[in-house]
Amino acid sequence: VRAPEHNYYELLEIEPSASEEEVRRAYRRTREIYAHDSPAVYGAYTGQELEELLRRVDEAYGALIDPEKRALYDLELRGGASAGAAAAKVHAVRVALAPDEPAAEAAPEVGPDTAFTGELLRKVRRARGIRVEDLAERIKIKVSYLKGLEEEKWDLLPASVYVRGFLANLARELKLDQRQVLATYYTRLKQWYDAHKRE
Amino acid sequence: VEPDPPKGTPLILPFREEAVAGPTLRRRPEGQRIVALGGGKGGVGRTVLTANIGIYLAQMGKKVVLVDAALGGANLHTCLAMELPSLNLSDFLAGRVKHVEDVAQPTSIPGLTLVAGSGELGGANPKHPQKLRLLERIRSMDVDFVILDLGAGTAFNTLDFFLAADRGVVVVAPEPTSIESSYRFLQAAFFRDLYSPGIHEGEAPWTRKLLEVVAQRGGDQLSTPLELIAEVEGQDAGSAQFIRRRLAQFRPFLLVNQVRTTADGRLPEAMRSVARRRFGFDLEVIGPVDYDDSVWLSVRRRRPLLLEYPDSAASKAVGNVVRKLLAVQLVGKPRDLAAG
Repeated sequence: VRAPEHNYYELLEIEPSASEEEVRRAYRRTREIYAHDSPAVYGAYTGQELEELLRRVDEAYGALIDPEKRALYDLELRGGASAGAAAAKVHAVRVALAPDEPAAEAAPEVGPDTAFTGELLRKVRRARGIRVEDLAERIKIKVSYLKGLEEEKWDLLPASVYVRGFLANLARELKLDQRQVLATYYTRLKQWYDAHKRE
Repeated sequence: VEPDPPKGTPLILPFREEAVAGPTLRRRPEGQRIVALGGGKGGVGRTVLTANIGIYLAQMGKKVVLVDAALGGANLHTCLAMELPSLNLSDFLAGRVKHVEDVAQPTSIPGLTLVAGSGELGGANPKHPQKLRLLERIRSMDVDFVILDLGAGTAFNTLDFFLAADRGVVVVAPEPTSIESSYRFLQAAFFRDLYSPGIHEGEAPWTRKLLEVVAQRGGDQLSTPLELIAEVEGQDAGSAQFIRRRLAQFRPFLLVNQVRTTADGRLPEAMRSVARRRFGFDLEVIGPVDYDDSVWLSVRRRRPLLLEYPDSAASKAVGNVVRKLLAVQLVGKPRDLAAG
């Protein structure tokens, strides 16, 4: 399990408006605090974790101390949404060309009484032109879990409380009614879990 | 010297199922503040600090009660040049006296009273209802400041006293063992809070269930609040938000004591950085207090530092600490006793 990633400014604990001198000072300070022989990190990091952190601190410094690189990085950071949208466009082209799965499939009919199954979730996903790998990444679960859900191979899945979360996120991502997905698919799955004495 | 905390204290705790106390009957006096000095490691000067912070406040005209909550290892009375009083905390915990005020002893300093620690075997492990009763009574004491001196280690009783205070102070000496213990203490306290009964009410319905599943896996696979949030985020955004909020509300002071070198002097800010980056704790630095020969001299003479050496560097540092404590604002509702 890993903590969330920091951006370069957060890594050096400075404001995005920091001057060159402030960047330099922050870098020295951070290297000092997180040095292997620094008492402040005792019991908080393993040697390997420190190594990795210092590598990223160096990377951050390298990018922020070079005016050209920093300008590019700031653009990327500030771009946020638009950069994300551009990335999504590039992504979509790649999805459409992916040989393993067709980009789109006829959308299945979904009504208020529809009982969701793994097969139906798979059809909805394909109709939206989303690859298994991309969906798994978007809702932050393992590909094998997503396949387990779609193929209803429930013995591959973790504790039901997690699976419930997966399904809720999956439904949201596929723009389906979360309550309906949970009331039908999750209820069936939970009964199976109970019958198999699983948490 | 107090013993070191045990190694490998599990950080993820099962939910507590003890009965919760009824509503607090007595009103809390307005402006009363409870401060607890903790931090995991023994021998860092916590007890001497407690005594001198109390004296300083009393000399400013505040009404102060010091409570020796180092259950089983009490020696706050010695720092105030007193014998262990015949009436002490164990009499209250055992129900031999009705009010905690009944065991509060006057000291030589006007305005300063002491609830001496339990000298009784078994007094180190009060039952949960007794502990709640003590905390409730402390809250209704008619004083300006209650200062709790906590023992070493991360025993549940110690963590609960720390969490019951308006502000907890983690006292650290600039040495690796103490620093390591303080991170462990902070983690244990935060998780103790997170796994308290009642605090999940009205929150995301899956929070409690999720935390239970995480707890069942044991502490090896998960060690920091930030990692917990990252994991829970993927399952239920509401639960992650709840943990984030508890984390933001958890704001202990960090006090580095016995500072000797320039590098030691940079330790508070360094620890603050590490605590935030690694664990997500937003510590507020008070102090530091420099190492000062007059401190151990005063302890040896069994005369409080502030009375024996009022102009020493350490005495002045205590003054700085006190001014920070006086600035503590009581915002919002104090932590609900029933959750303790």
